[in-house]
Amino acid sequence: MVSSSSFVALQLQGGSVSNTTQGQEIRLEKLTKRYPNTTKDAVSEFNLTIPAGECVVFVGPSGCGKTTTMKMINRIIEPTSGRIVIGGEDVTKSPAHELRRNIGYVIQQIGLFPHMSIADNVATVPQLLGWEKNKTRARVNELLDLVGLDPSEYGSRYPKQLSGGQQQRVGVARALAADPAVLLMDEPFGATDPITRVRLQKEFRALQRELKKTVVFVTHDFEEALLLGDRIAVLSDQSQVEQYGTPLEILSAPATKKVESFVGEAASVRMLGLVSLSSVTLAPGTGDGPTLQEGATLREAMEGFITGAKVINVGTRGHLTFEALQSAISSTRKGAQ
Amino acid sequence: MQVKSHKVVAIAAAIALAVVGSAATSSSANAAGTSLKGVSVIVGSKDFTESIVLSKIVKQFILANGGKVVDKTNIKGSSTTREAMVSGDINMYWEYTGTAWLVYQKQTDVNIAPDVLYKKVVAGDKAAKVTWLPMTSFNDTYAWAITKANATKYGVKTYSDLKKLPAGSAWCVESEFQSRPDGWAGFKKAYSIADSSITTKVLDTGAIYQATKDGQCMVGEVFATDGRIGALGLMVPQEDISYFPPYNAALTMTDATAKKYPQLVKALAPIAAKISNATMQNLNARVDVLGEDADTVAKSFLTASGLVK
Amino acid sequence: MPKALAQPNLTAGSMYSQSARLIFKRHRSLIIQPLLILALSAALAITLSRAHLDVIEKVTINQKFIFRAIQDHLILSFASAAVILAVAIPAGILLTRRRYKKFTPIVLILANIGQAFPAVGVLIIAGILFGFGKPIAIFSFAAFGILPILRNTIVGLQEIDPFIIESALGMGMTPKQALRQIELPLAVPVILAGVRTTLILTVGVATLGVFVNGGGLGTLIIPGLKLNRELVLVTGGILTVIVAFTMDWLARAAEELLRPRGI
Repeated sequence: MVSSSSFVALQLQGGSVSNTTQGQEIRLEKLTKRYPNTTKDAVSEFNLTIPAGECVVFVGPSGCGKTTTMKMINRIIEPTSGRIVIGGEDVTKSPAHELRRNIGYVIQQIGLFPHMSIADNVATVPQLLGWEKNKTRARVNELLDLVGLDPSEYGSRYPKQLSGGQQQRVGVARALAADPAVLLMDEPFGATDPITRVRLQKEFRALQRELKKTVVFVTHDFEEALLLGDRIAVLSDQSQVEQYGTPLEILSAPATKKVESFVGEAASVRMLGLVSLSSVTLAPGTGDGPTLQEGATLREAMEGFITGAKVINVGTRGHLTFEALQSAISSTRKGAQ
Repeated sequence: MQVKSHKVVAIAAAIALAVVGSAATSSSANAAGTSLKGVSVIVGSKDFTESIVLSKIVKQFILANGGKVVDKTNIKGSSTTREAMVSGDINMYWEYTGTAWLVYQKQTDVNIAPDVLYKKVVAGDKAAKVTWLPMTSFNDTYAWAITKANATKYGVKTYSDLKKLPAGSAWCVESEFQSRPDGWAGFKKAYSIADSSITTKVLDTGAIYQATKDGQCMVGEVFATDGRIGALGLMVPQEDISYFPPYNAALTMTDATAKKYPQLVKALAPIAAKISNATMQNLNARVDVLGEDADTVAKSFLTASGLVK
Repeated sequence: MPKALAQPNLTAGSMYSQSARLIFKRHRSLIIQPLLILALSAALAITLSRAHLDVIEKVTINQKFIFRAIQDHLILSFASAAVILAVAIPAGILLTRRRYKKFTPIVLILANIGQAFPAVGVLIIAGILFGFGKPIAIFSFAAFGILPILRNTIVGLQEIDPFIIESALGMGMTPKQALRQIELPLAVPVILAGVRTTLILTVGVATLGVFVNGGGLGTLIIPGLKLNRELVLVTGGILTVIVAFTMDWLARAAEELLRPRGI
C-alpha cells in the first residue's frame, strides 16, 4: 500500500544528491505506551510539537521514557494510543516500513550490519528505495566524506575493522543516506570516549546547522543537550514534560524543582556559553588585549577578563570592556525571562 | 513316653530338614536333581529365536540339576558366536552341521545325507578342538516361503514351480544369505533362475516373514523350522532339486569343557533326539508369535518331554 | 567523483599480506583433507586388489558390488540430508518468529524423540507399513537426524544481536527483508555447522539401509560381521569413513564459500 502523501512520497521520488531535504514539523499528540501486564504507563499522554528544521533534545534521568517516546515516532515501538503527525500528515497507521525509509535512525548500540561493507551499510536505505546504482555510490561517498571517513579507504572495510567512534560516524552517515527530512538519534555518541564525543558533538552541530533536518535527539547528558539543542524538552517519569524551551530559557528560568535539580549548579555561568559576541554592541576600534572571533561566546570573553585582560577585541568590529560585558549579561537575562 | 516323643520330634525335624534342604539346593521350580552339582559353564547362542531356545533348554536343564550357568545367549552372527566359543568367551552353543561344513571347514560339496554329513563335520572339527554332542532329528535348513494363497493361485508345489511366478516377482533375502556359498547365487544357478526375471530385495530376517505375508515379497528366504511360517499362513514348497545342505542342530563345546565335565556331556546327550521338526516349530512359534519368554518355553519343554521331572 | 582505490601497502604485517597468510592457514585443512581421503582410498583399493579372496568374500568384494554400495550410500545420505534441510531450516526460522516462539519446546521434544528411537526397529516397522526400499529409509533417517540442524538454525537466529535487527527495521526493511538480508546471512555459519553435523550423522545411519532394501555400505558390514570375514567388514567400515570424510570436506568448503565476509 503505497501512500501518496507529501511526507511519505517525498523520498520515494529521491531527492537529487546535492539538494538536501528540509526538515518537516513533527506533532506528537497524546502519545501513550502501556506495556502488557504493567500497572503504569511507560509514556503517558505525551504532547509536543517539534518545529521543522530544529534539533529538539529529549533529556531526563534514566528510565523516564525518553527513548521509548522517540522510538514511537518511527513506530519501532507501536504507541498504545495517540497520534503522530509529520509534515501535516497523520502517520500513526501508515505502513511502518515506508514511514521509516524517510526517517533517519541512529541508536546507541549503532547496529551496523557486520556482514556488509561500510559502503553497503550506508547504501541500505537508498537500495531499499530503489535508487539507481551510480547515484547511490555517489551519495555514499559524499556522506562518508561528510562524516570524516575517506570513502576510498573505508568504503570496502567491514564494521569490525573500525573503532567505536568510526562506527558511530558510519551510523550517522547511514541515517542520512536517503536524505530524510527527520532524524531520530538515541544517545548516538554515548559509546565513545569523552574526547571523541566532544568532537562528534561539534561536528554534528555544524552539520545540523547546514542541513537543517528536524532532529529528535535523546540524551541523559544535559551539557550535550545544551550544546546541540535548539530546544530542550526536560522529561521526568512516564515522559512527563517538565519544561520545553530554548537552552537559554531553561537555564535562566527553570520551571520546576525537577528541572532545577536536573540543570544543576552554576546555571548563570553556563548561560554565558550560549550567547555569542555577535549580538553585543562594541566600542569602535581595537584596544590593547586579546582578540576573539565573532562566533565566540560571552563565556570566552569572561574567561579573558578573569585571566587579566583589560579589553577584548572582537574580530575587526570593535572592542569590549568589562562594564560592557556586564550590561550585555544582564540584558541577556532580562531577555530570557 | 518322653523318650518316644523326643524320637517323634527328631524324626519330624529330620524330615523337615530334608525337605527344606532339598528345596534350598534346587534353583528352579522343577524337582531337585544334583547330578550336575559342581558344573559351572557359560552358555551362548546365535541371535535368532531357535538358537536362543535351544540354548535355554540346555541352561534350564543344567540349573535343574544343580549346576551353575552364565547366560550369554543372543550373540550377533553365526561366525561371531563360534569365535566366542573358540576364544573362551562362552563354553558351548548349538551349531548346525551345514554351517560348520560350509563356513568353518570351507567345504563346497552339499549333496550329502544328514548323518553322513554329521560324521564328517565331527571329524573335521577335531582339529579345531571342538566336541559335538548328538544331533537333532529336525533339519533347520534354508527354505523359501510363499503365502498359501499364492501357492494355490500359481500352482506352486515345488521350488522349480517358483519359476512360474510372474516376471519381476520380489524374492526377499537377508544380507548374510547373499554372501553364503550355500546362498542366493548358488540357488539361482542350481534352479536356472535368471536375475532378469525376478526382483531381489534385501531385508532384515525378521521383516521377511511379515513382508511375505503382506505381499511386499512374493517369495521369502526363511528357516524351515520357524514358527512364523505356520502362524502367518505361509507354506514351504518341496525342494525338488537338492541344493541346500542339511542343517541338523547339535550342541558344540570346546574339548576342554568336555574333558572338564564328562558328566555334563553324558547328561546332555539325550536332549537332541527329543526335538523333532514339529516340536521345534512349536517352540519357536510360542516365542515369536505368542510372545512367550524363551526361558519359560525351555522349562515347559523339559518338563513335557520328561527330561526334567 | 569517488576517488580511486589507494594502492595496497605490501609491507609485512600490512592488512593485505596478513589476509593472504590467514587465507592459507584457514584453508589448509580444506586442501589437506581431500588428499588424505584420496590416499586412504588408494591404499584400500591396492589392498583389495592384491588380496586372496574366498568364495564368501568375492560376493561383496568386487568392483560392481562396492561401487553400487557406495552409490546407494551417497543417495541415502544426500537424500536424507536434503529432506532434513527442507524441513528443519524453515521450521527453525518459523520458530524464531514472534508468533510461533511458543511452539519451540514441543517441536524440540519431538525432534529429540526422533533421536532416541531404536533405529532398526523403527525402520522395519516403517518398512512394513509403507513399503521397504530407499524412500522409507530416507524418511526414517531424516527423522533420526533432524535435531542438530533444527537446533542450530534456532540458535543461529537467536544469537543475532537484537539491535542489528532493530536497526534493519528502523531503516525501513520489512520483516521479510530483514530476515533475508540480515538475519539469515548472519545465521549462516551456525546453520552450516549444523548441516555438517547432520551430513556425518546420515552417513553413519545410512548403514542401516541394508535392513530395508535400501542398499548402502551396510551390505558389506553386516555380512562381514555375521560371517566373520574381517576383510569385508573392515572394507565396509573404511568406505563409510571415507564417505563421511568426503561429506565433511564438502560441508566445510560450503561453509567457507557461503560465510559472509566481515564476520
